[in-house]
Amino acid sequence: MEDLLLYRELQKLPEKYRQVIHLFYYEEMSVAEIAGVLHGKESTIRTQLTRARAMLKEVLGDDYAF
Amino acid sequence: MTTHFKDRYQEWNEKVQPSGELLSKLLMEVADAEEASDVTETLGSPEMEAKEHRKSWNNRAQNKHNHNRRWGRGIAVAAAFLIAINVSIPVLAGTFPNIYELMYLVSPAVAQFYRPVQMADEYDGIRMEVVAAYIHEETAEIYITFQDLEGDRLDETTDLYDSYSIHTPSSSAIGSCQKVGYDPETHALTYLITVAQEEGRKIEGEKLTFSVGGYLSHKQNYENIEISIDLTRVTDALYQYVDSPANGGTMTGYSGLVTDMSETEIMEKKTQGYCVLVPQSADPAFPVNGVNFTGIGYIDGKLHIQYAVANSLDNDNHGFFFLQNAAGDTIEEVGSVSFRAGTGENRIDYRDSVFLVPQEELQNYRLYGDFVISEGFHEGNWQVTFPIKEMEE
Repeated sequence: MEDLLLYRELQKLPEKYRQVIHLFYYEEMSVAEIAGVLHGKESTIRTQLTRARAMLKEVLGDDYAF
Repeated sequence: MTTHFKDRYQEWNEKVQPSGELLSKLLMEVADAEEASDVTETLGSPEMEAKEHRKSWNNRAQNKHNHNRRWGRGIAVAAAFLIAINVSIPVLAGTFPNIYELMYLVSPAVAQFYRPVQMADEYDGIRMEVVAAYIHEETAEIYITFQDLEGDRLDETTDLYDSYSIHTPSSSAIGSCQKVGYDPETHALTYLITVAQEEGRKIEGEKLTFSVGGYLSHKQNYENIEISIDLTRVTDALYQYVDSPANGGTMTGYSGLVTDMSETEIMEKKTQGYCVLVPQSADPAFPVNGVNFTGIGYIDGKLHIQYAVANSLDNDNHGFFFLQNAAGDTIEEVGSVSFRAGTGENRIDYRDSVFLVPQEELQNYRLYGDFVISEGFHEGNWQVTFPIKEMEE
């Protein structure tokens, strides 16, 4: 069930936020590398990462540390 | 006990992996698509550099796999999505595998257990087909396609918005929905829906009815939208307290505030609720339709910025504000409080974002926002009933 909750909440993220989350946490890419792949500025990627974490924290609560 | 999100996310992605052969095939298709792309169209050195980054990423991905790193299904799908977005070659549309190949791409460990259903329902010119299903214990995994037979009401942003459900003799379940494909030529989407009955109760009975109650579509993303507000004039604002529903309040959610609260504030929260701006009239000059700007001001030294969404249960309109100065330095919210006013068709949902920026420094920043706006929820009624026994493992 925890898998389903995580799955569902990740799917609710805007696609760009899902991309940065995946590239950062699973592919372990740096912000600079992610910016290159996604054609964006590093500051934009940092912003998207921050917001994606905020959205996930809002629903996942304090069970996870980012 | 607190878990590190990174560990959990990696563990979750590694539970299902595509085969080495399938992944190699996908990565080769991606690399071929890169080579075949029209590199002469307005490419300058930043484009070439980004292209090299992507190739380097693909090579590194292949090397990682060759070193026995297990890949989650997300990266295979993410690869296709990323390349489709970045090089504008319709990798998804032109070469997207049929649904059975999709199953092996998305869920290779269990693809063999799916049983064909191939039953459809049509409503208002939109056809839903339950293509295949895999039912095991308390979980039903169902592949469906959703296609507009008459027009273009569906697009790549179409979202079933949690309107899907299964009906069995033993009721309640929760689920998730993953969009796994979209064909822009046929306006057909493919979803993998996973539904599990609560408390681990096995799905039993002769038949299962899968239904979808509607969809959201044509979502628009608005990014880095400047909000034209004179931040030099922002001062202390009228505020109110909102409390949790358990205490009869109108708060609907909050995030990230506790760590920045003093003990006094925490005690106040327990007795009075959270502090939010008193909503003002919507700013008619706000640049994004579907979201209303209803306030900005300081409460107890913290900057609050508020927006409102009407009929939020029928749309997925939402957004985030941020402050940015001329040097590109960004201040993000440290937390938020969501609350509602009114009920039913008159319900309005508010979101108060909290920022830590001293009032005397605010003049150095401009206000921006990212928003997602949809055209509204379209109700429908699609139902397919199929026998359970034949779908079981």
